[in-house]
Amino acid sequence: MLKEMFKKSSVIFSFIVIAFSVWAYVETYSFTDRAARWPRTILFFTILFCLMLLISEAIRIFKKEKAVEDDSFSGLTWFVPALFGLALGYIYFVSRIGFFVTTFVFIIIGAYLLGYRKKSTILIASVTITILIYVIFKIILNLPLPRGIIF
Amino acid sequence: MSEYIISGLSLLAQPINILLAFVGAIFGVVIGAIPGLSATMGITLLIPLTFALQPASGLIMLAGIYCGAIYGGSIAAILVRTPGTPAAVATMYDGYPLTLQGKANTALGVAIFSSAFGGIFSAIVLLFVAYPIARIALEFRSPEMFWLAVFGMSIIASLGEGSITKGFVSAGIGLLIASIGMHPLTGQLRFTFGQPSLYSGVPIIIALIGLFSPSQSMIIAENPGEQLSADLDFKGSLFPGFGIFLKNKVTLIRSAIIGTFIGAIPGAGAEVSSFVAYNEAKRWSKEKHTFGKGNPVGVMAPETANNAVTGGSLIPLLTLGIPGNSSTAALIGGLMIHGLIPGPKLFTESANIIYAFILSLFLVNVFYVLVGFYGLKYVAKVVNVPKAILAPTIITLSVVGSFAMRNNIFDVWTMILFGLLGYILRKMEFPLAPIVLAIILGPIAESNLDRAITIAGARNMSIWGVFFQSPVAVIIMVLTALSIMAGIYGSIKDKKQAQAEQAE
Repeated sequence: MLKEMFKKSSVIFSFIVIAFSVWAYVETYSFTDRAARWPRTILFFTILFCLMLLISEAIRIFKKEKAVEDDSFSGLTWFVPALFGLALGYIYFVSRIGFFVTTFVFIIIGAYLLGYRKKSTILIASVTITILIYVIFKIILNLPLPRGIIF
Repeated sequence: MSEYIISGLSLLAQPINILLAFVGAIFGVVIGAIPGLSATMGITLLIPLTFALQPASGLIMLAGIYCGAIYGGSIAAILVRTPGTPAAVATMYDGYPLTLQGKANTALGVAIFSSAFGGIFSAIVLLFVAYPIARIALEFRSPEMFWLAVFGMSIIASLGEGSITKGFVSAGIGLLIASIGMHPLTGQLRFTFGQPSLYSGVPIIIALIGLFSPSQSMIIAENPGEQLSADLDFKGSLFPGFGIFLKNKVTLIRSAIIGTFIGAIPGAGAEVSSFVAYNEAKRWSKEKHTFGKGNPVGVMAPETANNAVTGGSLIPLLTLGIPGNSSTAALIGGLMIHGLIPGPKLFTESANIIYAFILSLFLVNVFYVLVGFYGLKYVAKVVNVPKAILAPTIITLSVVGSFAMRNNIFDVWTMILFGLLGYILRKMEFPLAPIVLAIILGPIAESNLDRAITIAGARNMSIWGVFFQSPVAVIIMVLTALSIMAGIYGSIKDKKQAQAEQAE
């Protein structure tokens, strides 16, 4: 049963939340009583609700009920982690190289990575989006954009 | 109240504000028309554009985005049978069959004018109902405010989408996030990991952008090859004539009332209201059998109701500081960034701004009619935007938006972490609205509870004694309990229904 439970992502997530909550609860002992009161109350209820989720999941598996939904991450393709990884790289480089070049390259790689192959469309989209954001944020609204060694 | 309306009107009448209402309506319709992008995401993604604007101007633009996006959702629902926003699912039932019959123009036209009717109806209700509620709410003190915040969170968690337990876990996560930073009254640092950028807590805008925008682009990335293709060659005028509206005036008014009422109840939103209005229209119709096969009334009812939610949902937001749904929770971010704390004090301290905002709803509901009526063929092209380009573009906008707030790259890292959290939670069907609401209401609940405890100490009473001394607090406590019970009842009913369906 335990093995079956751990196949469900929400069960794993509940355990992670409980573990984090326990850590945070211990952390509250370094606060004054007044500052610790509220987080402790929240942590208590969060752990309680996570346990309720786990119990209901265990009951469902014990009763051999068919899950209402299949496991949420079973259909996950590599596109998602690839895009997320690329986004992390984008954030890393945007503050070092600068907004213009990094954004232009990010959209090209992003679209290509997600399987789009019309090179001219990608290029036009990338240039247009980069310039449009620059014009709206920097020129019209005078909002800061990440700056780096290039632009 | 009339002097507030006049001062709001004069603020709204400034050319820049009228222009921004129009720009907001265009942005909203475009975002709403893109399948997968909701009104909430539109607001969070474009809030950064309001940083540089005056508070009233920023809010007016956000009003345009909110109302425009709810209407825009109908375009893809009608043309390609893919709802642009979740609120447009019910529109699809009769909208798409009309397209198949070569009557896309009728469906699109009915959607435009019904949306505007619903939107304006709810704006009228908001205009006249908000002030009296705010006057009552101004009398609220710490015990009432604490219970109001708890009520807001419990009702979203229990009556919102998804399982009630997951709703409460989401709320717990949100409250924990809200407790990062300084304690509101003593200033003690909590859970900051030594990061100075976290001393004042996680900025609500950063959390909002992260939870709704990059998470959406990851969802889009799951199926990037899927390409929609809308036939934009619809013939005939978009104006369906007054006859259809006059003939169905009861449906129109009923749907507007349903939308406004459901919008005003925290927990439910445009999605629920459109289904309820659709079902009611069908129930009262003499031609029930034509629903689902291309009856324009099947477009009219949900479109009136989902836009009527806009004004309704602003009633609890502006008067009590409780957002009714995730879109208005995102709007709170737009208010707070300009130093406006949602709640009854808005009606005394920033009355001109708030009335300019409320009155702008009338304007934006006219503007998106113009956008829809004259620019639909151009706007509808966004339905065909390749997903592989859309996903990285959303991330780019999220990055520049979160950076622009404080010129701080740490905020961008925080935002993307929230993006990952939002994606994981959405995949596991944990609702996001309770998290956002808890981030907003957590500090209000904590500081008011702290004050109530201090009062109790000074009066030598228990905290429950202080709570029970206030009849309003007792009423809100009862309402909180009722909302939780209604949520439990609903989830038991859903489970039984699911089991019955499985047995069949």
